[in-house]
Amino acid sequence: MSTTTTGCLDVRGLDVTLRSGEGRDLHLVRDVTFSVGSGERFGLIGESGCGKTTTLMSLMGLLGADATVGGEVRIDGTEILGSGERDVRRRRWSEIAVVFQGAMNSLNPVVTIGRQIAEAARRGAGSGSGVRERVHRVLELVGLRAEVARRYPHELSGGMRQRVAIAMAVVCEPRVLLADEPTTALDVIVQAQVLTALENACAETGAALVLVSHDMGVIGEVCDRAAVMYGGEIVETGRIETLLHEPAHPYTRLLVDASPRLSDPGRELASIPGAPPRPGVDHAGCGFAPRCPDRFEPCGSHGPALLPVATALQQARCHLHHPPAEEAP
Amino acid sequence: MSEDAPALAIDRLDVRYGARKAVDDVSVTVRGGELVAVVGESGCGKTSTAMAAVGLVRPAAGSIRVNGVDLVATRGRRRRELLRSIQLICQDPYEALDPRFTVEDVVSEPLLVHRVTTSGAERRRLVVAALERAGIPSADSYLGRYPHQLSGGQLQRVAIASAIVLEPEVLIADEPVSMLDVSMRAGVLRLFADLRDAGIAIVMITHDLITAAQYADRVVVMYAGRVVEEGRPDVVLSSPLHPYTQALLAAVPDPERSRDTARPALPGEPPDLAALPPGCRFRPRCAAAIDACATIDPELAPAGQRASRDLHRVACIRVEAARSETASGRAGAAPAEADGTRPRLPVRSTEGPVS
Repeated sequence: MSTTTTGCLDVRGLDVTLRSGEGRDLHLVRDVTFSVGSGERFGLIGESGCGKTTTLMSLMGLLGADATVGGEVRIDGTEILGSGERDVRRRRWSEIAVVFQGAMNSLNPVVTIGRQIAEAARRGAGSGSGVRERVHRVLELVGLRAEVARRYPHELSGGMRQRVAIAMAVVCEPRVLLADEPTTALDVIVQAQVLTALENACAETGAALVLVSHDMGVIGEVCDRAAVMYGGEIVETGRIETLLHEPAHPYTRLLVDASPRLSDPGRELASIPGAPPRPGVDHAGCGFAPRCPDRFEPCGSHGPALLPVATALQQARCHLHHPPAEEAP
Repeated sequence: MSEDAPALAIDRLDVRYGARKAVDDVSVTVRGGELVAVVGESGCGKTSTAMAAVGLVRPAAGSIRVNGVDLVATRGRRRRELLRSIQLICQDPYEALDPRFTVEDVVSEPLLVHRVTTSGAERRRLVVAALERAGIPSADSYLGRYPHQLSGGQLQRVAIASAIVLEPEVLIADEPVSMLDVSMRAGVLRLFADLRDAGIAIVMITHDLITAAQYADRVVVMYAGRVVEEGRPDVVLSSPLHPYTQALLAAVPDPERSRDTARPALPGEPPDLAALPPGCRFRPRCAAAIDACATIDPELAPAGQRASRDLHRVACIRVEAARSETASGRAGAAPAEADGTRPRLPVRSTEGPVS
């Protein structure tokens, strides 16, 4: 289906179903396909409940036994889905690592920063020697002084603690770094410091970055390419410039128009009528149709497929570009 | 209650938490039909100012006048009456609304607390009117719903309805859209603009300068408990004078910026509010600081010589210096401040580790 070349992280047809308490199946992520090269920065953007965090959790193998994960996930060509718990643990942090939104609040309050990073460093393969040096090097990488190693979490600001979380995530030099809304609770100045730390950490280690955010500005500034998610599906993917200036999907266009921009502060922000769908609820036709200003006949009954728009680099899941007749084999 | 008194006049407000000066000598005036945005990073004192204005925090000094009557000096029934006309809207509607309360319970609660009417039918009429004013269409059908049945945008509108059901003259909104999905934000912000147009005085606390600029009549920038710059949003955004305001603007994510240029960033952290540095409290992070900044605590002063000067004010001695040089015809190295070309002070970018 995807025409992108094999990257450092390859996700194909990822599908996540969660068995809910009442025994109902919630189809949270459907047919998610993307590929991120070494050193590349890829964004996942969408509103709450669109499936972006569930996608990350499934890549980390952190979804519980109630979740069924289908599809393929490869790191440097090696399939990681369906491998045993021991393999998943071995791979976690040394091959694929994550920084969560609230990571700054999950540091151990009674252990120094240096010891916590050192502990993280020992999780990786080939550790042992030079842990102290590695701790100081990753602290420097995220813009913190070496003396921060001797401090306790409560002595640091939220932004500094979030940078410590990034340092912990990259100390084992993972091939893939996932970041889930790493700056959402922070104000702009601290956000800029954290984003710089994230970029430097990836540049230095050559990790493929997957950045999840609801903020078009953040994704646009950090990432090379991005996928827009809605109702558990990717509805558009492409280069940042294309998504910002020539969005193919009406949802992408509205999302761009709803985001304030410094270059045009007087512009009236768009709002999208209605609310995002409840996660995991199946629908006939296109998931965005109920809120879409451009919907026409087939949208309510036929679900569109993710297909190339202008070039193979841009794909959209929208009948405007591919009326159903064209899709038939 | 004097006729021409502003709806809300905060004057020389101090708020302390032990040794920490959360708000230090802050004055903000908001008239009916005016929307003022208070902008700054966490810990700058914007929320403490709001808390004091609605009577939830006792100020250490200063006055808070609602239609000319000082809230701080008023007690008992008179104070309750005064508090009725100034209402707070919280950041997180998911947390602010009790999950066991229906929409009708939430919006009628203030009417019960302030004993507005004894008639149930009248109460329901007021609730429906407030919901409709807050942009909930066919409000009747929402009365029996619970918070979990509503979207974030609808929840915030219900919270707004419960604030306006008492017909307040002042609304204080603390980050009212930061918890909402992007697609819902514009609608809620538009609602505040409509309430402003209907004559309510609105204070909107936010860390989003761009949004503030679009909906506000005036922007107040706070840093470490002080107002450092104040003015019309178009003026403050196009020609910010205080180095902190400039840093705040530079930090706004810009998708258009080239990936090759370094992200401008302000190094360091805000000062400890219990041990403020002498002189200007922004000095330790300021690239434009000179020796005098370590001794002179700058006052908020008019930034222009023209008719608009009462609109744009800044607390920075470097700006004053640049202005007086221009005024005496020795523009020299200092950038000229006339007709839009205002002094723009350099903000250093982070190079190498900072803490």
